[in-house]
This record gives sequence, C-alpha cells and structure tokens, in this order.
Amino acid sequence: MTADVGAQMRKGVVEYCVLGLLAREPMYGWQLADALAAPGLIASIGTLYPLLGRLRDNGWVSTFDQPSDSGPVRRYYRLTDAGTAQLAHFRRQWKPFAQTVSSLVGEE
Amino acid sequence: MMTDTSDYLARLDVALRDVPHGIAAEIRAGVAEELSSLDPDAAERRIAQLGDPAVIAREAMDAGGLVPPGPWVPPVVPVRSPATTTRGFAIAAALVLSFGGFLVPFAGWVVGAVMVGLSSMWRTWEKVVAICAPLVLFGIVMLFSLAAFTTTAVEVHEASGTGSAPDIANPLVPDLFGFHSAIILLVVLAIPASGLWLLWRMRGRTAAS
Repeated sequence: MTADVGAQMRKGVVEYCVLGLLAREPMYGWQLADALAAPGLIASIGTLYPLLGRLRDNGWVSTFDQPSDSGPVRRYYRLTDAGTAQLAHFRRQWKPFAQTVSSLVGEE
Repeated sequence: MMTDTSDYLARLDVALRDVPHGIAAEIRAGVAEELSSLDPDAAERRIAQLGDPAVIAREAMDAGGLVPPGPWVPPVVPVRSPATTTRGFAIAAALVLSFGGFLVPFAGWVVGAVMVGLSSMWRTWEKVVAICAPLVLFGIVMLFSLAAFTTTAVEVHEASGTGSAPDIANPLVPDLFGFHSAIILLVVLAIPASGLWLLWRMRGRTAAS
C-alpha cells in the first residue's frame, strides 16, 4: 500500500496534467510522452495512449492531423471546450486541496 | 537502420496483439510516426528509449483497465448527520429536556433526553450529568421519604402497641410549606436547571460540521 502511494497520486492527476499541457498548445503523442515521462508522470508511451483515448472518449480532447516539417503527418491533440471547462474546474479545486493535504501531513 | 525500425514495429505489433485494437493502433501509429520522422541514428536512439515492446504492451493493458476519470472531486471526510450537529438542534434539545416534561409529562422529558443524547454539541459526561442528575436526585428523595415513613411507623408500634399514631405529616402527601414539599420542588426545578446548564455548557462552541 505505502509503496504505491506515488503511483496512486499519479493516476489521480495525470489526466489533468495532459489537459494542462494541451491548454498551452496542441501537441502530438511523442511530445506529450516526453513532457509526462520526464517528471515521472507516465512510465512509457504504453501508458499515454490509453489515457489519451479516455480523454477523447470524455470529449475533453480532439485530434487533427498535420504534416510535419520532417515528413510524416502527425496526429495532434488539442483541448475541447469541455476539456477547458474541466481543467478550470480542476484548477479551482486543486490548490485548496493541496494546501489542505500539506497542512495535514506537514513537511520533513 | 530502416530494418531496425521495421523490426521494432514488427515486434511491437506482436506484443500489442492482446491490447484492445483501438489502443494498439494508436500506439503503433504514434511510434511509427515518431520513428519515421528521424534519421537512422536518431531512430536507433529512440528505439532504445522506447524500450521493450512487451513492456509497452503490458503498461497499455494496465492503463487501459483503469476507470475512466469523471469530474474531479477532492476526497471528502465523511461527516456525521448534519441535523444533530447544529447549534439549533442542540438548543432545541436542551429546551425540550428542560420544559418538555411540563408540556407532556414524562414523555416530553424523555424526548428531550434522546435529543440531547443525539446532539454532538456536548461531551458524553455532560449529557450523562444533565439526564441523570434529576433522576438521581428524585431517587434520593424517594429513599429518604420512605425511610422516614418506615421509621415513624416502627416507632409507633414499639412504643406501646396501642394508641394512635403521632400527629406527623405523611411524607407521601405534599405539605405545601413542609420539608418534603421543598424537596419535591427542588427535584422539579432540577429538570429545567439541567437543560439550562447544558445551554450554558455549549456557550462558545461551534457546530462540528
């Protein structure tokens, strides 16, 4: 149980981290994988696509294809209006929630 | 190097055969898209970065089994029933305990005692004192009254066995200005006093929820 605390926290917030990234600009799969894997939010690209599929099923992201300078057509993900609203909802609740948890668990 | 890319994609296809088709196709397309945009050396480094296709497939299966996220709501601590945690309920409970018995004899006081027991505004010992004190006082008074009556009766019989009983007031018959009336009045006053004491104890306290 204690060994998986980090994994459980990541599962709870990683979808909203994707929404936050896409709020800045549309991104393609590998960009998202890089941005999320570096801080350890996803383990690999195998975790990313199921996650993107859920976000798309919820109507929070949509895709479009765009040719890249290096050749291949890339599939980009962007935020929908529903995704923007969902992200705003999360932002409003995240800060007080994180502050409450911090005040309860303290610091080392 | 194209062989490396083709070989990797072929291994990925095999590894993804148990992954739901939609997810597998997305992963396959994403990897192929990335590798095709790179020169052979960069593609080789990317393949090393991607790692074992079997691991990717396993993680896709694990992630695909997660419950889709709904609207995010922070965890909340379960709260007690709000009706019994409010100050209004506590005030009502104390008032019913104090005066309910005068409106509906005995039953009104019982309702007040139950309401006081349900309220979270007081500590357990406060509830016990408020509810039990009038009962204990009543019990003590009754014991003293019975003891006094019994002692008087015995004295009459041991004195002579005949004659009439001394002119002593019956303790079970209230004497408006006598000792027993004062005691009974004290018990009657103890009931509203217990409720008012509870109101005094809850001063400055806030509802639990």
